[in-house]
Amino acid sequence: MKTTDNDIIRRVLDGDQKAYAELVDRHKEKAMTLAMRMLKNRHDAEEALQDAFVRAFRALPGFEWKSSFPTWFYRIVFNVCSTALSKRGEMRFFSIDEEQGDDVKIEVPSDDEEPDIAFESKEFSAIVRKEIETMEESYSTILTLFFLQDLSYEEIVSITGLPLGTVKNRLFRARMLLRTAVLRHFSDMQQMVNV
Amino acid sequence: MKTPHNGLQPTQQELMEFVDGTLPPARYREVEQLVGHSRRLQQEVALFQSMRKMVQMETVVVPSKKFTTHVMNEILPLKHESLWMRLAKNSSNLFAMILVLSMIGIVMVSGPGTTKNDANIVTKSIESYSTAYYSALETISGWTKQFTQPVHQVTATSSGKFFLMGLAAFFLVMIVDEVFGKKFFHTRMKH
Repeated sequence: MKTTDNDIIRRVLDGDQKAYAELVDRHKEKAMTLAMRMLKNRHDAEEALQDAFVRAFRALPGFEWKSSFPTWFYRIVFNVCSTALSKRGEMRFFSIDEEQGDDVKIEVPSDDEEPDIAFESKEFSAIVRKEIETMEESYSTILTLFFLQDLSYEEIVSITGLPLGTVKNRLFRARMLLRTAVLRHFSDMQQMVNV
Repeated sequence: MKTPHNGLQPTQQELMEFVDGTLPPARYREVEQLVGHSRRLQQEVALFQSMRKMVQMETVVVPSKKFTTHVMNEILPLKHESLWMRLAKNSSNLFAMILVLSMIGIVMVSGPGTTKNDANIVTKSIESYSTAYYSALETISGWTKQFTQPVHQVTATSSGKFFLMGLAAFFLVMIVDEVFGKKFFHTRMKH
């Protein structure tokens, strides 16, 4: 039977502090991705993540058993990274210069000719990766929490403290940015082939 | 403009929710039918599905190889260090504490009315004073007598001696604490 996060936490709280390494190994990659999406710098992200793991260890006695460890831990990662961004003077996460509504609806244009896209290609994956890396952190963070961590809107709200409408809106915009980048790239490619 | 809930054109938002599986069931079925009949919508859905897959699979950032070790070293700093490393790191603290301990010993041994037998009892009870150390104490005791008159007044009484022995025990525990892992005066984690 697979050991759950809660089993490991119980072991740590019972004095087996080395068991914490197992929790770190389990969650470091996804958490690192979140830190990287927020801070856009590998060194800073790793430092922030290390800090977050140490803080989580110290706060473990206060762990809320109702929520899952990842959701609880991502809140710590998010806060540590937000503090790092504030220190850099780059905290755009809570800017309100955007629509707060949760009813974003854009009609699919019916007359645009979409290029043929090789969805499984390395090219496609490279465009998505590059676009996420250069995307503003307020968008890439929500995108990462939603897709990579597989969190619900409500969980993202509890981690970021943002209103539900803003979370949905940012997720929508982030995906539209990705879509635009992919379509632009493959349209250019098609035009080059046609010429 | 056609409204999206009339079984007509879905919005981009709806297509995204269709891919996520978060669209309300009734609308989900409508959009499913529409997608089934439109190549353009199929391509749009495929694009969102692929983007989702790419974000999930291809964009994970892996921390450095020794990341877990670094975290654990932060959490359990003293458990990974050898006794010699700990001694070296705490050498200044140890030196200061041993000095204080020695001074207490000197004062107790060289106080007025203190006989050689009394000094031997103290020596044995602490078990850290060797013969060489004792002879050194005797040599220095003459020198310390003139500087430690007020303390001698304290040590002349038995309660004063107990107080100093308590102080010595405290510093002894501090030394053990410094070397063997912050056990007594520092708590790492409260359960």
